[in-house]
Amino acid sequence: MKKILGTLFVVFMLAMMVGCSSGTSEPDAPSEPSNGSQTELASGGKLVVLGNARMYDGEDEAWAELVAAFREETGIEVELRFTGKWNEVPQNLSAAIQAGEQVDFVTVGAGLIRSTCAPAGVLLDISTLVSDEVRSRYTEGMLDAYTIGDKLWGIPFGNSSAGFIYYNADMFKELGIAPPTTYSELVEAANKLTAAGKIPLIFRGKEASYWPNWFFSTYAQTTGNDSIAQTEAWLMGDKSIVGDQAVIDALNAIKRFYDDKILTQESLDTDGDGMKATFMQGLAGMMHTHNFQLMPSAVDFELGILEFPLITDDSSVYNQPAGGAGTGLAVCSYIQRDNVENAKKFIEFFTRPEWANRICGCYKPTVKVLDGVDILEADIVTQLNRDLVPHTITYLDWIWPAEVLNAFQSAVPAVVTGATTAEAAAQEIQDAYDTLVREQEYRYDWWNGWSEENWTKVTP
Amino acid sequence: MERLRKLHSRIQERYFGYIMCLPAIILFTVFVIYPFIKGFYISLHRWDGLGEMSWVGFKNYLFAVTDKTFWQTMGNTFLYALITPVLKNILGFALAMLFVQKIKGMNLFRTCTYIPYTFSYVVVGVLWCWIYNPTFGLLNAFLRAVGLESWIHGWLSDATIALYSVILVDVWKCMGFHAVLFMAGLQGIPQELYEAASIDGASKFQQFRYITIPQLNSTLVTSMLLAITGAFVNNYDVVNVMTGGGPYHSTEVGLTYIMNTAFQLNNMGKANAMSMILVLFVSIFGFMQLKTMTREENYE
Repeated sequence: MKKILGTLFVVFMLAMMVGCSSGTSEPDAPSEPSNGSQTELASGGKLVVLGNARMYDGEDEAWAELVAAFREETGIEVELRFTGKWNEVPQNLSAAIQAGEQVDFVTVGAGLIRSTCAPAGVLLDISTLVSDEVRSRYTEGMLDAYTIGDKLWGIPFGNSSAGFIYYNADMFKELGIAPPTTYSELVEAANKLTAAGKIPLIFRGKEASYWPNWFFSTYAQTTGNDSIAQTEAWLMGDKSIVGDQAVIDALNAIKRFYDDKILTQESLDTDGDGMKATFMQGLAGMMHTHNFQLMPSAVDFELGILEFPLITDDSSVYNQPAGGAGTGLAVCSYIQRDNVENAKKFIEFFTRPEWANRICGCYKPTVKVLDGVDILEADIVTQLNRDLVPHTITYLDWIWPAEVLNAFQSAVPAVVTGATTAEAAAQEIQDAYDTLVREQEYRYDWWNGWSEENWTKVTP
Repeated sequence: MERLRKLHSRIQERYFGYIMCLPAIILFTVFVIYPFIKGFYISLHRWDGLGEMSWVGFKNYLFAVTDKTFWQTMGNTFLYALITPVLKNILGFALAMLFVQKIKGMNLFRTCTYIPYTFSYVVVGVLWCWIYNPTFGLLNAFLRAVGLESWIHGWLSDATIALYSVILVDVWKCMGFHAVLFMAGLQGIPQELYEAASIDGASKFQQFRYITIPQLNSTLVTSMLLAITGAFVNNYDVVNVMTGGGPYHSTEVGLTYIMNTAFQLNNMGKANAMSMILVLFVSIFGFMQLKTMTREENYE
């Protein structure tokens, strides 16, 4: 009896395990072509959008209106599944794929597309789904970050920006400080602010992910405005960054901000909320940010913006802020192929000027990504679009793989505080890259290494 | 009929225990055993969580043991697991000794000390982030107010002290709980023992050393076990909320590094291999600790 019961128990346990595993049963199964049936389509068809929880006021309502209008025009249902944070989208997508759930669209930015989703083969190449008419709705260059290996993997719909420094114009006037344009003027301004008991410049240094923004700015200058090409050459394995003078100079230039007391201890332990609170309460004279955190109406003093200062003596070098349209929509490669036409219709509908404005308007846009989107009106927005946006380069962390980004996030603050040297930091970063190549057979131009079978899976 | 009832009774007697345990065994199997086996399986593959898995054998284990950051995080994990239980128990015991005194307002004091334990690590972490904040934080403001400017630090940004700042938060949160455990133990010690010792001329210290400590041994074992287990498995929340493992991995513990490897670097195979190594270390450590603390002579 005991043996029988024992056997029954084991069988029951095994049945439970099988029952609890996904319909696709093996984690590698999702990469199979997905023409099979995952979920029955609704009468007019059904699309499922998986994404992170909306972050801006009114976004949920705007999306609800969009899908209602789309259903009315086409009869196609759109189910929105917005949950978690933006950087959790790949893991949510992974869970959905393994559970055999229908996912047709994912909201994912250019960085995650390049580093994670497209190389994994979970996104559809939408080059042929995005018509010339739809492409023409985008401001020139906005699709570039979403184009990898000459294929389009997503379309942006968020805001774009360019790195800059806010300053409290009233405080500057009161202390007799002219808005600095050079590094030495910035040091002088910082000294005056410190003497007045203010924090010269506040930054969200507690959040490691923001430190590379400093490197984007300094490296752009130390490479003679060639940072993107230099980065690509490195990631292709054409060179090492150990002993690379441009990298070392860029890291040391960031350290100078700390040594010259422009950047202070307060910034090392301050997060985004703390940074804004410090600046808005007039405790700091400047705030370093990479996007529009504040508008003039949010503060009770006059707000100004400064370009990142020139840190080299080379007169031919100019400031290149990093930026790009960060939020995007991509099509999942597991989409049922008979649903691709519906996806194409949704892309066309979504990018129409009136809907682009309805969705993107929630972001309080400062740079026009799509036709029809009304950007905010303010002098600083005009200045941003006139002086900074034309020189914008893609964020390097949209090009770097996650391991390299991780290494930079540790290395930059370590150099700044003197915990390591720029040379040692360059070695650490190179080690991270080498480890990635060794352990995961990383290849920057993954699209050139793909087999025909890989391409079949991601081709509509 | 009688035979049938007897048989039924015998079956009930023999298998009742198994049947009652079955729900727990099922849950344990589904949520612990199966994921563990699955985790081991994944650790033998290269997998980004999205695409195809490819078999790499034990390479991920090799990658994990040659990863110096992994060993740094393991060091931090063990440091955390070494310091927090000791501090929680020493401070908890000291508080318990206070709690059993008949002093006015003691109930309020007990309640205030216990309340942090009812908060989640996320709440406590956010609260202490603000206390440690260099610009608005109470701690630096207090030090400034009492003229101890030289003591002012970047509590979470200075790599040499950040881990201790986090440990302090965990200790603050949990010492009330351990105090309650010890208080219950103290209240269970028969007063006659102290009276007899007193008549025999034992000093207060001798009473403490030869009555209180031995009588509290079982409480101490329970309290230490809870604290050590907690130190290994609860450090993720507080570290993640307060520092995210920074600055430059100085507060990174095994769990945050594994999560980072799995979900930010999308290296599921290596993350699972590191999990297996962590499980192995914790099991060895836990077993040794359990054996040491539950030796029979401790209760003699």
